[in-house]
Amino acid sequence: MSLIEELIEALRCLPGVGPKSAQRMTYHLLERDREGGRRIAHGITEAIEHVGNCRSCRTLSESELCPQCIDTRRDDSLLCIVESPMDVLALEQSASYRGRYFVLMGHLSPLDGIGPQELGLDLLEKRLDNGVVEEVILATNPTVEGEATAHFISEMAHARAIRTTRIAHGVPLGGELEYVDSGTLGHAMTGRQDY
Amino acid sequence: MRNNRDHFHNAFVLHVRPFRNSSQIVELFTEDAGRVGVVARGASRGKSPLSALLQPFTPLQLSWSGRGELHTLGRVEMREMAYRLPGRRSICGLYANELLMRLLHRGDSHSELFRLYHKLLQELSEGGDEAPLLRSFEVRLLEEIGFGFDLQLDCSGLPILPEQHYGYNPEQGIVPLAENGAQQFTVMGKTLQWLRSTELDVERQILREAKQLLRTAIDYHLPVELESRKLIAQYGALS
Ligand SMILES: [Zn+2]
Repeated sequence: MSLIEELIEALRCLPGVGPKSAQRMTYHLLERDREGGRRIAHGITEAIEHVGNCRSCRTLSESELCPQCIDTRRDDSLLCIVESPMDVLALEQSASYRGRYFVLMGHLSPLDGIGPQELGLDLLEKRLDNGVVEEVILATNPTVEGEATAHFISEMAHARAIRTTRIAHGVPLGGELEYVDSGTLGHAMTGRQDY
Repeated sequence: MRNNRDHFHNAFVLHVRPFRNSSQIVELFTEDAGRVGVVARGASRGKSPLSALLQPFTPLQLSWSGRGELHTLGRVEMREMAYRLPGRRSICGLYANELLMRLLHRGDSHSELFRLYHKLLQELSEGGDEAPLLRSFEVRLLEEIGFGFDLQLDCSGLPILPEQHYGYNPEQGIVPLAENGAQQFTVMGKTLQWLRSTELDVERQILREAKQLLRTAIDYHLPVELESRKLIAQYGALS
């Protein structure tokens, strides 16, 4: 495989990039923007090397604790559970929430071998045990697996007499949080219900 | 089996996984063609109506085309509203899906099993005790795929008696206990009789025995540990 072919093939791992666009990107970088190409290469290498997971909430972070976990103005009594770092981003953009997050990095999926352990629920359990969290907001996706995950976590919270709420309004069934517009998402957060 | 885009099949989604950058591989349980794998192009692109439809527990009608292991998904329509399995019940539904995924071979038709699976989802969505529903599905599933055991006669050909103790041996079937002392567990004849009818009103002791018996039989045919069963157990440990 030539270097050009190799680059085209590599770019295809990006979401939404098919063979045609991968080819266009490759030729664009080589013909017109080699400096841009270098920046991409550097950015990817550095990010892959230095971005890990927040020790407290598991979201992607280059420091031990992410900005949301460090921010002292946030309300420690609210803990919002989401499936992915993109969901944190989406909720932050909706500006409707000032509590803490816990990022599962997935959902319960027995057929993929993803159970409570893989979602860091042991870490979540410790968090719930420290007595600071008063409300767990379940913001997993409204898919079958997302619902099952929400219910499992609600049982963990109820066993410790912690209130749980589930965001509900306006999020379409089977929809994924990161694709919902921030208006809808803000509404969903305000109109959350006991779960 | 006609594999063209105009021929619609009744189906449920058993499992979905991402494929390439915006497609999904969808494992289906269909009424007329058994377990079928299809590729859904563009299904994991944002806001795709396909990914909202391709959810477990939803009665679908769909078509596919192409030959080989993986077909190409054609049109998909919702036949009825998705069954809503609240909480723990959704794990029970996922357990049934895992059983079908691991025990059925692609392309073996099982229309009676399809009907039983549909009924299981319906009953799980209606509430009530999930244990007898799962035991009933397990015992019929084993029968349907040729791993059933005789619930009328024991391995020596004598009728099953309600008050007699029995053991289970995967090779021999139901063994009267006097003949086989070293058993892991015992079941009463009345438990075996219950498995023929599986009516919902049943003693806990019978359910416990039935669970152990079916578990042993399933484990014999499935060397891997069932993840959803582990999850159900972890559920129990929460409260
Ligand atoms: Zn954090």
